[in-house]
Amino acid sequence: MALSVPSSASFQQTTLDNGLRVILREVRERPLVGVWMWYRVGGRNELPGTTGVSHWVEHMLFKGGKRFGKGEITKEISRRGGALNAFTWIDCTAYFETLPSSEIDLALAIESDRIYDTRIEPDEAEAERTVVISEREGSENFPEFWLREEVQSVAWREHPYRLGVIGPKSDLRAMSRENLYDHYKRFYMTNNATLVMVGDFAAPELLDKIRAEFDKHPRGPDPSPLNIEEQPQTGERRVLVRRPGPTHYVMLAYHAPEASHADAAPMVVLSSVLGGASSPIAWGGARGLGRSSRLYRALVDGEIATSVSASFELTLDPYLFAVDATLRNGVEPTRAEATILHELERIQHEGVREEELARTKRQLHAQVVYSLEGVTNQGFALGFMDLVARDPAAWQTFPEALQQVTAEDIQRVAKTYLVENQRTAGWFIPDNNQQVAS
Amino acid sequence: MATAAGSALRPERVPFNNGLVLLHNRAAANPSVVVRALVRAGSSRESPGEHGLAGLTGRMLRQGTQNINKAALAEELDGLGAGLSVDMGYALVSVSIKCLSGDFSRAMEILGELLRRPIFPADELERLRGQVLTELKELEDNTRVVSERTWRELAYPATHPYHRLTVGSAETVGSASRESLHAFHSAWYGPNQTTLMVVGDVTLDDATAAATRMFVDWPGARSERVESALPATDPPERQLRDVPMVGKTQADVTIGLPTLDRSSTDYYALNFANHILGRIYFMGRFGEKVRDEQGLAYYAYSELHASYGRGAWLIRAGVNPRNLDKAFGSIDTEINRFLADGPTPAEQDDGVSSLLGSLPRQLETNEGAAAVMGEIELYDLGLDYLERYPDIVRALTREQVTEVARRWIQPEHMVSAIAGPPRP
Repeated sequence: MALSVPSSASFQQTTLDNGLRVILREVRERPLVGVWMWYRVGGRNELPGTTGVSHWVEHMLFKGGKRFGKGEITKEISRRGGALNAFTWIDCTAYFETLPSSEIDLALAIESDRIYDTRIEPDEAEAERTVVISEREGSENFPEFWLREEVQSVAWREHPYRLGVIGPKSDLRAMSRENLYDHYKRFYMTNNATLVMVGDFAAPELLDKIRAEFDKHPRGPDPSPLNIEEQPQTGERRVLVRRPGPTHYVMLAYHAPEASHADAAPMVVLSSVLGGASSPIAWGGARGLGRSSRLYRALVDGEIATSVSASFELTLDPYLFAVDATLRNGVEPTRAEATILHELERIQHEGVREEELARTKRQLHAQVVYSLEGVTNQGFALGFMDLVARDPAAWQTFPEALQQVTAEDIQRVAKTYLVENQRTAGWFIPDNNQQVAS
Repeated sequence: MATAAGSALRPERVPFNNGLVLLHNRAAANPSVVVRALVRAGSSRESPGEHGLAGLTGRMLRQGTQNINKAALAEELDGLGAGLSVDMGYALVSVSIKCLSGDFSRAMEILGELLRRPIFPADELERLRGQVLTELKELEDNTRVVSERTWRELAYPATHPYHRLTVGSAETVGSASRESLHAFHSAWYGPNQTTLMVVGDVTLDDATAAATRMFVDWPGARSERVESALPATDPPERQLRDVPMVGKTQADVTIGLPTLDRSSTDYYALNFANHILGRIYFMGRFGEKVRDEQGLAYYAYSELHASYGRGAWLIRAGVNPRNLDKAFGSIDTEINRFLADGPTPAEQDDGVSSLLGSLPRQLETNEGAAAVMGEIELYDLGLDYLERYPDIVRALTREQVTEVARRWIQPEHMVSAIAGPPRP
């Protein structure tokens, strides 16, 4: 059994004179192309007072530039049967279009217009304020959102990862058009972006088109690197969230290594042993995996939780390894937390069995294969791994590295990272008599 | 474009003597396969007082069978890297395994075992019951779910399956017995109520051979057609209900009315109207007016649930409670404008090109293809459906779309439900 990503996992990469990095992969099975534009700006590039600015700017890039007026980007893509969207995360902001390959020029024109010529009109920025606040309020309706935001906010003292992505309402109410435009001008430039295209095209001809669209844009001043070093945590941190809610939730988060660290692959396998596998390199995959995982058996089969997950995400800077559990009615957080800790300690003391490791690797392999179905997902994987691992080849080499992880590796990283003084423990306590200000 | 899309999906249909239908589509772009059974054993098959029984039965399939216990099944599926999911609807339960193509035969064996030989262990039922009871509390804390549940209670009579969500209540889930699960399974799980789909990197011969091994001697279930459990109902009176929920900051809104059956000759025109009102571009006219122009919501769109009986046409929006009146006014205005004038010529052209141009995207994944194949079989659309579909859509006229929208979207029957913080 060959455990690697699908064959012909090749791509071409080049850098234009203005610094725009271009990654192209030909996939000719369907008359489709997936286009991704990645900017190296997100929550980690923000400051208190204007938290959420990257995400709000993302919204504004649908509002019109020089060649496309308000709403026209969406209309042009939609009327051709395409799909488009964007997302902002702690490490990046990314825009995508998936459309018939005959319409490739349109996608290039849109992304070329966006990169320097977005207007961010004052009235449009103002109209978007309530939309962004509404997006936050939609999340606020879920107990898990409050708990995660609280845990994140105390897991770091210095690093902007503590601020999240959406921003608190106070910042969203105070944000000015100038804040948005300054942020846009500071981070949106060819030398801070990567264009990834996967689909039905001939790469040499496409590269000519890309040059014709993007060569005209000048290089900008490189954004300053983030020089914030988190001070080592010296003891466990604990937070409680008391709000109306249906049940208790528990979150245990540990400082964990960055994607480019050699321990990233063992951490992915460790999280999969604990909570079941998902693809670390792309969205998508199969549902319903992981019922033989340690935490599922201990907490769900053990009638402590209705669901449990273990997650380790690939990030530019050291981020979090987290276990999240939704508790059954009547189960106290103390018991759930003790059960989770017991399972972590078992791995630290006893390691994992070889057949358990093999089963987990097989899950990871399968999930990676599933997550690479379609040009949009493949474009995501190439761009995402290029961003966080600083190497597009990592879309192939990282899944291969997962298959090389040993039982000793897993035990070692469990002992190194899942320790008390690196932990932030959060409990959501349902308090349905409480009046909460909105 | 549309022709190319159609040619991307060439399902083969293999009927079995016992009533099972196998649908197969070969796609080799990804070395994986979706094996899915659509069993007409959804919540509409429940008797009064048994609500949630179909869901419990579906979820118990993986909790132990005659030949494999729950733990062994979990280990085997994880060892294959195969995902098993069970999704409950009104007409159907979908039991689906996604696996690597080399594991297809075993996946089919497992699917057969789950469908044919579950034993519903008593201890596992109690474990699942406790889990579901907590999940029900979570759903009751979810503004979007409460909004839709409330809408259904207003829009359909209490005797109709569409009156409620498929999950059941604490009372009915709490009282469901192992015997009732057995009886439900015996009644409705059988080849004559099942469409089996194999989509992905597997040949027709292999799919047929595997299906034959597992299902050729599967005895029949009851024969009543599922359509009969989802009859047409009288349209409701226009009304609004507001459900205040403590600790929430956003209100979820559901507005709509029961409309038509998927087999109705009006379906394509009404679906087109829905496309213009709540889908095209970025959430259609509702998204353009309510979100883009007025900034009243993060999302505002519509969806048409045309299945059997009078399926729902729903507008959904997430709105700050201070903006509810404005959002309702804006949605009303757009509906009335559409009913008066129909789609603009530009919208008509864009609607056609977007619906046809999006087909290759929809069919790009095995799951996307399986969804279309299921629709073809369940609503008897014919294996050449995707070849005919472009002509169906192109033949729609603005006048026809407007007339059909007026017939089915009647403001005097529009029902609204709000779930969110108490209104200021």
